[in-house]
Amino acid sequence: MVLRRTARIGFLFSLPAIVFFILFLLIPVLSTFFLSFTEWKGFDLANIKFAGVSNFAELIEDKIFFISLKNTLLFVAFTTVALNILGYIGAAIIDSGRRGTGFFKNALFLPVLLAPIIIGIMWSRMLDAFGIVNQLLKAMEIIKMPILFLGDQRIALYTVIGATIWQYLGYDMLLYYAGLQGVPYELVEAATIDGASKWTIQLKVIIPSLSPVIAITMLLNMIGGFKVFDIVYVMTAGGPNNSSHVFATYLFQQAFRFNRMGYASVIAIVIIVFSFLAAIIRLKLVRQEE
Amino acid sequence: MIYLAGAVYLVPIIWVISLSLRSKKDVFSTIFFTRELHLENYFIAWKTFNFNLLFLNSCIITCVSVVIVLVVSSMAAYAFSRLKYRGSEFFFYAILLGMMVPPAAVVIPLFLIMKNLGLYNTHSALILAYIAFGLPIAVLIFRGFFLSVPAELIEAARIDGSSEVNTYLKIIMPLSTAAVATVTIFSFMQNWNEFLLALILLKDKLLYTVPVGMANLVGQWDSPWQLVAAGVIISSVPIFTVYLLIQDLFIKGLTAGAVKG
Repeated sequence: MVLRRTARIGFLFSLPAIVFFILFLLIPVLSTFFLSFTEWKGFDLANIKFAGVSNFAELIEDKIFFISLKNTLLFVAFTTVALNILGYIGAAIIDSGRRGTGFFKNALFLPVLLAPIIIGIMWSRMLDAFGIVNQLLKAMEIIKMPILFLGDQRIALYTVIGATIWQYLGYDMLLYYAGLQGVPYELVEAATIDGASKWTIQLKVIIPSLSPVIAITMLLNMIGGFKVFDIVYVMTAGGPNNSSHVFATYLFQQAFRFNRMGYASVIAIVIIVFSFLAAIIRLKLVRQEE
Repeated sequence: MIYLAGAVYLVPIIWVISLSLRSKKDVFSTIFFTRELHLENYFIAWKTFNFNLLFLNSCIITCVSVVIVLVVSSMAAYAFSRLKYRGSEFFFYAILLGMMVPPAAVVIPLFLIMKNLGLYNTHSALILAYIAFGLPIAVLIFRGFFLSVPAELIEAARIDGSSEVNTYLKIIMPLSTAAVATVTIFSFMQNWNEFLLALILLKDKLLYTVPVGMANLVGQWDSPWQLVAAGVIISSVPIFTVYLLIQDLFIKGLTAGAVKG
């Protein structure tokens, strides 16, 4: 009797969360699949037409989609690798406990607090033809003509990647720093007594015992990379000449600039598939921890 | 050395501050140090960007959504940890999976749903979306915390005839201030800086949040650099202030998403 009563109350307690989940997450995800088979003009759902798999067929032929796929993968790969390596080095520096580490930590963490949109605005100005970077390069007579960091097809994406790394380095650093606090001191001491060099201790003792932190940090960076939108939108909007599109900016362009919501839904499905793969890995990690 | 490395890292921000204090003439001629300080740029930027309104909008949307997330997620987490029922595990993992849905993947149906509910171009639309996206991680954090509360405490309350609602309100929640702080900071940052959903669900300039308002003005016409720079600084001051006041809580709150999986 008592059990059934608490069960009912339990259900009622969780009901609001379940309703939100169904209305604004589950239904949207399911309708994305439905929308990907349709086509319509404008925002009026009354004009919706079934389009079969034509959207999917178009996607396979779409050069810009494949550019966005390549760019998203490059974005994920570069940011994840750089953030983890530099984050680890940063963590080792603050862990050394030398003077100035408090300031160093705050300096690196500061950009994490800012909206990506703000970072984008800052860096666009800095790297502009008239910005400080080109000013300095000119003053040092390294270049004669300004480098168009965001206007050159070959480097625009990497410029955005650089700004992203600058923003989130402090975040990864703190995750690694927290991880370093959990490395058993006895292990390091034992290795030192055995005459292991500093480098050997880093490689053979500290890094292996950080493996759970490495896994979760890399996963978080990858998830963040797959859904990146803000900073690309504000720095390049996918340009020049569509060369720096990622999934989310291309989807936005198709759906809200060209009014092609059916086609954009196919791109949404690609994002969902990637996210779902990451979700499975993440749930595994959560369960391992429990 | 370490001080120097930290300072070099902040060069972009120092440059923006320097930019924000320059006269129109000096914007492109000076590299780093300005001769004159033009503090009035801040007043002009405040007016041009209409920060009164932007901050008010961002505050309303962020605060309302954070409060509702706190209530709804802690209730659900209590059910998923201490009032389990058949199917509660299923719902818990379903909601967790929701954490993995990036806003970009569902903006189209969300936009259509809000249009059909008549909520498009209202603050409510954005608040509802922020709650939905904020719940999963909040439920996870609260559930982890509630599981660490000794079961005897809850048993004892039950035997004393305390109702479940009473136990949740009078015993569980007062013990959980740490979790409340973590969830508050995490969702506050998330919503305060959010851009994509705000860009899509709001049309009226009078409803814009800080990020959308900034992006809109900066992109719209070639705004004078010194004003853009002042705007960047103004929009960042609130979050810096809060961070400096409660640094440790902040770091804990922001890294919670990682530690908790």
